Amino acid sequence: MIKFTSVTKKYKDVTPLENFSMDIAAGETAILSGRSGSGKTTILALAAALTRPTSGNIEVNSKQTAKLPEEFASLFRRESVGIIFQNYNLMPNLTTLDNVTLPLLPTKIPFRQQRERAFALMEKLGIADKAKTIAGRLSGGEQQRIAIARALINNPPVVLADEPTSNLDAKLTENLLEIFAGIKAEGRTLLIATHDKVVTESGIADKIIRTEL
Amino acid sequence: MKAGLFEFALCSMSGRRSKFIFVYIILTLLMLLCFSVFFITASLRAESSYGSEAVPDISVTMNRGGRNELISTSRVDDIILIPGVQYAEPAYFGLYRFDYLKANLTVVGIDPFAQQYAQSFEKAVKRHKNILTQERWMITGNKLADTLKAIYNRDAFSFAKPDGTYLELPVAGTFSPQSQLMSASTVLTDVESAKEILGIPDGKAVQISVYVGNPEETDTIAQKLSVMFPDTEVTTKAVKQASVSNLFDFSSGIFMLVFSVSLFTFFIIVFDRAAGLNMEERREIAVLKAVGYTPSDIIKVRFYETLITAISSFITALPLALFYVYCVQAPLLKSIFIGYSYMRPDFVLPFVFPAKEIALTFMATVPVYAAAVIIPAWRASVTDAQESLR
Ligand SMILES: Nc1ncnc2c1ncn2[C@@H]1O[C@H](COP(=O)(O)OP(=O)(O)OP(=O)(O)O)[C@@H](O)[C@H]1O
Ligand SMILES: [Mg+2]
Repeated sequence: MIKFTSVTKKYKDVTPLENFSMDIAAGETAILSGRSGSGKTTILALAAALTRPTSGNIEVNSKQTAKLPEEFASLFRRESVGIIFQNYNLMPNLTTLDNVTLPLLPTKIPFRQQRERAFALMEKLGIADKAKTIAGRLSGGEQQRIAIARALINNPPVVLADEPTSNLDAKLTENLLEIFAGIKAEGRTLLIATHDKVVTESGIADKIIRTEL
Repeated sequence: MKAGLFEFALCSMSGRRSKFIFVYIILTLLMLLCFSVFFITASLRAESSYGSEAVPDISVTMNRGGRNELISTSRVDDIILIPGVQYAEPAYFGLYRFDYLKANLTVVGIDPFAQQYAQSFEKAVKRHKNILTQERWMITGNKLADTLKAIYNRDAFSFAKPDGTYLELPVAGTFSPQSQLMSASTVLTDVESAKEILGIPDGKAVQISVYVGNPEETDTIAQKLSVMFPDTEVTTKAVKQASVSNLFDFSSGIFMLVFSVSLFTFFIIVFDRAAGLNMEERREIAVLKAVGYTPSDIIKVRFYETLITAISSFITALPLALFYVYCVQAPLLKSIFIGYSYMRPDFVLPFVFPAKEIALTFMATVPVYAAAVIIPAWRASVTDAQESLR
């Protein structure tokens, strides 16, 4: 569940969010739609506690995150949130496997189990054969699936995706929507920021939230 | 739990291999240089203290018009009466020009049974048993003994006396390797022979060596001596040793050059880090945070990276330095420290296990480097991650 109450976010000279509220129930899939610069990425960053609001309340997975200190914000993400960035933000020098396992390394999960989980996810997303390949050398679609595997490996109740189709062709977009349908079916809360009509009109979303300036 | 982060540190280092190899090489060179310099000085310090036991607390020489002249041995009787003086004795030493080697030998006449020599004599001299049975003898360094043997094919050497006649002395022993710095070109002999070789007439000596009971009183007694004998020059052991340690020329050019170059490079690394992280490094930290790494996890990763680099450098540099200093006897650096002369390059650096110096080198390099890596990483890890991810 993701709940914003009167959230304002000010940067030095722009205020992309002013008094913004939204409420996404647990297990719901929502689409954030709005033109470029309207604050979609900012909302996702706030939901993941990667940045703090200037004012207002944010509650994610029953946790108040608006004033969370960095140490706890990281632990909150580890437990509750998986993020798929628009540019994937992989570690380009590491292999697929190491990228997918990355979020598990600081946890207490035994090494062998970490590998098993990673392979299961890579299998599911069709990148298991690329396990030992350096991530930076893979295609955009493959890199995105690494990013998705990395976002899901901690089994987060909330998944955030920023412009997930912006680098994909029609075929890959279709594949991606299937993956999202799977994530939705697992009961996770899914928030997708997009201005791609194919996504908006695919019927995957339970609700569409418009961001205005 | 930490094993995972350690694993990641290794992975992430292998991803940025060239950068870490560069740091590793610089750090290794710097440690190698520090180790070598420390080992050599530790070794030389040990070496020079072997010889210092025989240095008298106070030496009194005759000075007339700026010239050093021989001193009357009769002064011993006056000096010995000064309260606090344990004993005093005339000393006989000087230089003997050995043309064949174009070198000066230092000839020192001693009574090997006198109490101030007995101990250090035992320590410093090998195979000297037959001294007891000989009236005339000489002891010298290995190198010189071998050279004499090679030239004359016998264990003896004929000194040309000032009156033109020759005095032949059998080589009765050699110095142990630990004491060769001061002794490579030194010839120890009995007092009578020394006086003949150096042309010192009876009743005269080069200096009067004074030994005091309580070291605290040395300066007071030295002062008293210079008042009592205004025509003499009075030198204390401390002053003498200070001039001995000038032998180890720290400011020598090549050493300073190499040292400052590596120090410079080291500080470039440090400043490069301290100036803050570049975009790519910031992004990496932000990504780690985004996938659930806490600031302390990130610091741990960086800490492991530094530890791996520093320890690799350390375990490369330490054996290299030990080999360089003690096995091959520090070519280049050694001559910087002891100066070049015919005999000296052959003296053996005695092995001193330099635990303190090793620790010092580690303390001088690793924490600086670690801080230079960890502090900016920590700063980046507690700032807003979104900024770096845009
Ligand atoms: N860290 C920041 N510092 C200053 N300004 C920022 C920062 N992040 C975002 N902005 C500004 O806030 C506004 C909203 O940005 P945001 O990235 O949320 O928009 P968006 O809806 O995701 O746009 P797009 O569709 O182009 O991705 C923009 O004007 C942007 O320049
Ligand atoms: Mg955006």
